[in-house]
Amino acid sequence: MRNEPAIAAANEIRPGRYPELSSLDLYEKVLVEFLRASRLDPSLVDGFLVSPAGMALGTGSDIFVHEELGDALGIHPIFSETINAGGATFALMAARAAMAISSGRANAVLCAGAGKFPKVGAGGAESMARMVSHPDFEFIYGAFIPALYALAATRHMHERGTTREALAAVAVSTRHWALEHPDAIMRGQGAISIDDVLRSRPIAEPFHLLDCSVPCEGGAAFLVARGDIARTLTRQPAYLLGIGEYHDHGPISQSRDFTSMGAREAGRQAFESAGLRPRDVRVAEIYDAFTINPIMYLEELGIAEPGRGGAFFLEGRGAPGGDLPVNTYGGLLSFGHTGDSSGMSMVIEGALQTMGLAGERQVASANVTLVHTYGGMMAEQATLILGRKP
Amino acid sequence: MNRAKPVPRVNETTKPYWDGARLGKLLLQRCNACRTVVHYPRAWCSKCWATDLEWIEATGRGHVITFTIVHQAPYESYAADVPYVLAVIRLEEGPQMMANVLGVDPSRMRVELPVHVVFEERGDGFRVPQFEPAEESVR
Repeated sequence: MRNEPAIAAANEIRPGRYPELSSLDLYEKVLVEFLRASRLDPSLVDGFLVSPAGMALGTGSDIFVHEELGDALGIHPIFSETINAGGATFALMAARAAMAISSGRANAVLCAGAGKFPKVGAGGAESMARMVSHPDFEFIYGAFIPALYALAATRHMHERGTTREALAAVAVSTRHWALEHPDAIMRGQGAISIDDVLRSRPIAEPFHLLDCSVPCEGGAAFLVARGDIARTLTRQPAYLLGIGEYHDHGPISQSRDFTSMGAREAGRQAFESAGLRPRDVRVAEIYDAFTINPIMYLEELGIAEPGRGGAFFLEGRGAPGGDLPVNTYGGLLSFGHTGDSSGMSMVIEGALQTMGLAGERQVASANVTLVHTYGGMMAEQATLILGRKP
Repeated sequence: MNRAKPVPRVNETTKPYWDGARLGKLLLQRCNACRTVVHYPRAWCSKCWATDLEWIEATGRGHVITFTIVHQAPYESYAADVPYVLAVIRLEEGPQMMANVLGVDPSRMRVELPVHVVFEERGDGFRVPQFEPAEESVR
């Protein structure tokens, strides 16, 4: 892209429960940790993108976060707003920032998100179900998040022959990666087997408990800067080579294709704008609220043949030591799903891998990293391709 | 009847749909310009954006596109129903809708299962479209 937009700094706080922190308090924690880690000069930053605060709590969202935090940071950006596309928000922030930098509208855009997650057992499942399903034509039928995703899994199994064991293999592979991330919530739980997943209690078939991501709270921030600025901030920026975006259905019952949800189009745009092909990808970070997601998106993004996404995980290809590492931070399945900022985690990990800053889990050959996220009930898709050369 | 289960909100656009359901009719909108059949109800045709739609009565027949068997209810009024079937149905007229498949042996549920509409009574006089298997053998 023109002006070589690149992620030049990225930091995620440790996922967990922060009952003493409000949504805005959590944002403060995200930013103070980012500032300590990046030592950024405020005069460099002329763009600021954030997401609404408190959305997942269902108690009303703060949609003026960019004003409140912009003032607190003492910046006066020329490109700033509070934006939301659910889990796709943060990849879209990177995409919006890259477009602004590419067109000369901005030089360095700070992007941040912080997420709370209600307790599922204490009415949280109901309040979130009201938010993510159509209140009059879906919610009234006992719809809730795992069940809505299970609709995609059942269709995938029917149409493409994906097996129950293949879904479990995604959880197994992702847990292996979590064991290598010091902050991953499930790190202390140790490795799991396919049998462990199958024997965990059923939630909404085909999903059992270990097919579901782990609710928690957290957040992250990253800076997208013009290439020449990025190179003064870090030895190896993560250049934004390609971006793609597609907004499909609203309520999931209106999806026209339960095996794709529009991801194919987002991926096509991303590869086309990067001038790369799926086989060029060395690491993939894919939003994984449930085990079906990495399977369906590897297929839709062209990395696995249709119907081969399950085999990809059963053969261990995405696990540590595999030929195409997937969700190297432990995924939402085992790192933790940080509520409304969950879409940050794969952007941050994609950036860290590309920048060579992923510590003990660093993939040596991470020259081209694919990040795929979605928002709502797989309603909107956002794809990024990051690389080590502009 | 389950008075505790959720009932929909009703507005000017959706009122004919829920009034029809009270009478045991599944009503859908059809665009008078391009003849597209639309569900859920809205104020325009989602294909051509014409704003002239009429209500037609659906045959009530369709098939299951996909489904899940729910073992953990999200709220209290569904707790006694587990395991229950949540499904997306494609109606003969084309549109898709979410509903429960009632009166089915969950272990015999399958994609493509033919179903037909039935109406479940809820509170406030509401009747909610639901589906049952068209085949005796899976009930």
